[in-house]
Amino acid sequence: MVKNSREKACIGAIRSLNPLKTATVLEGFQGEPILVGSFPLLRVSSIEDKWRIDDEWWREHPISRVYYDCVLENGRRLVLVKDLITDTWHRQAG
Amino acid sequence: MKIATVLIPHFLFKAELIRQPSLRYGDTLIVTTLGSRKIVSDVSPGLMNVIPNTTLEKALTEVKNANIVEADHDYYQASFQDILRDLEEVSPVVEESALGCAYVGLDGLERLYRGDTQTTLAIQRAIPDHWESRMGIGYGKFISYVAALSATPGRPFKITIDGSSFLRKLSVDILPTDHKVKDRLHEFALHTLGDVAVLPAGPLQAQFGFEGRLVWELSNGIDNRPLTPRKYDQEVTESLSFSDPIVVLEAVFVGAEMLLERIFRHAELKDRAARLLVLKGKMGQGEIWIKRLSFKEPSNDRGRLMSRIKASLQGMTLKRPMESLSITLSNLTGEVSRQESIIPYMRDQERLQDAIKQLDVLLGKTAPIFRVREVEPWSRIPERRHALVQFVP
Repeated sequence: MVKNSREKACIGAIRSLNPLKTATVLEGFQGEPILVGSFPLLRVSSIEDKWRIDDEWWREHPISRVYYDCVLENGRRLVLVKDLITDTWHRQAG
Repeated sequence: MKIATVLIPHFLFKAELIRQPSLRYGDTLIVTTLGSRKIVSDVSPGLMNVIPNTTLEKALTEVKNANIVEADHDYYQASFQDILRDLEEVSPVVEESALGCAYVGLDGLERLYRGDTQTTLAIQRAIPDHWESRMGIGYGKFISYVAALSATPGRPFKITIDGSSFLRKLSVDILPTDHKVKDRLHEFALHTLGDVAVLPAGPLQAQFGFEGRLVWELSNGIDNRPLTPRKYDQEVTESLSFSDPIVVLEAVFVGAEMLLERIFRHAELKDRAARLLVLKGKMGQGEIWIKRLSFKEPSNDRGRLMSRIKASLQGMTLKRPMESLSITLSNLTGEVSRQESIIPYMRDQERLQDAIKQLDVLLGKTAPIFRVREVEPWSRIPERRHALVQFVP
């Protein structure tokens, strides 16, 4: 196939930093994360913080998320994000 | 603008065929290793059920007993650059689209070659027969590309006045746009260019933005995209043939010294230095060996270049006898000496710029170096706060 031969404009070379990445999470009865990952599965030792964002409701794709600042059983800190619209889990740094 | 598209299907396979003629018999997969994955970059013409860019595992389920060849992209690039240089002998306006596909501007050449037919013949003669190239001629890049798809080796195909009627029954998959746009067009039951052409431009543009407008125009045979000639990178080459093929590295060093001595007699190198040195050896059975050496600081010092060649080839053994050797110096600069800033911050910036320029030369494209910029630091949505922006020195 013929590649689009236009040169990329400089302004197009922008990438998002810290995007959401898909995560595999097992939820508890109240919707909080209990296990994270695929192999090996890690248990969430504690949830240090929890907050919710509801934004951009006027747009075609509103944002509604719950963030969990978790500490895993191996001591690693991770922010897990539950997208309430798509009902999917993600992870995000900081 | 009248344009000829030169298309060489299965370019990678044909390039490998030059140095390994035995590949002509049987099926072949040209494979590129990306991390832990092996991706099929090209296949031999007979393999219709293997699509390039699939994984090797998947390809091997479709074909048994195929020759698997590791891709040598430096060699393919060098081979295609040779073809582009030969095309530039015919027309000054040559644009590289992809490996195996080039656009050649034809406007004004009729007077030089005394007619369309002679111009077409000149382009055909510029490309050796073993590439089995196809040529399409039309007004605009897209029309000429479609014409090339319909052409056969040695018989150019020309689309004259009304390109839109020719395009009507063709699939939208041949459009030069992102595959997501093509998938969406199929979802909207717009499978052919004729389906797209009957729609007004507005809804397409509203749905797909700039690409929507381009899709509509191309489907209607309108292509105003300019032909962008490739950047001419001046280079100087010297080569020599060995009367008896050599098998030891020391002989390569002797040959390289002779070549450097000859190369610096060229007028183009007077008071200029080079950032890139390419060693190219032709081995037995048509195999090509290429070594690229880039320099952080441009150099026109023969001793320094030779030391660098010796250091990079140290310990290497020649797998096959070498029949000829060439050296090419490119990315020439006008710098004879450098004046550095006395301000430490500025010096650091200059060194950073030099390092990035060297990376650009090494990679052959803009180095993927980004800087973090604040966009909406106050945003509640973390991924909106900062962005990676291409670093421009």
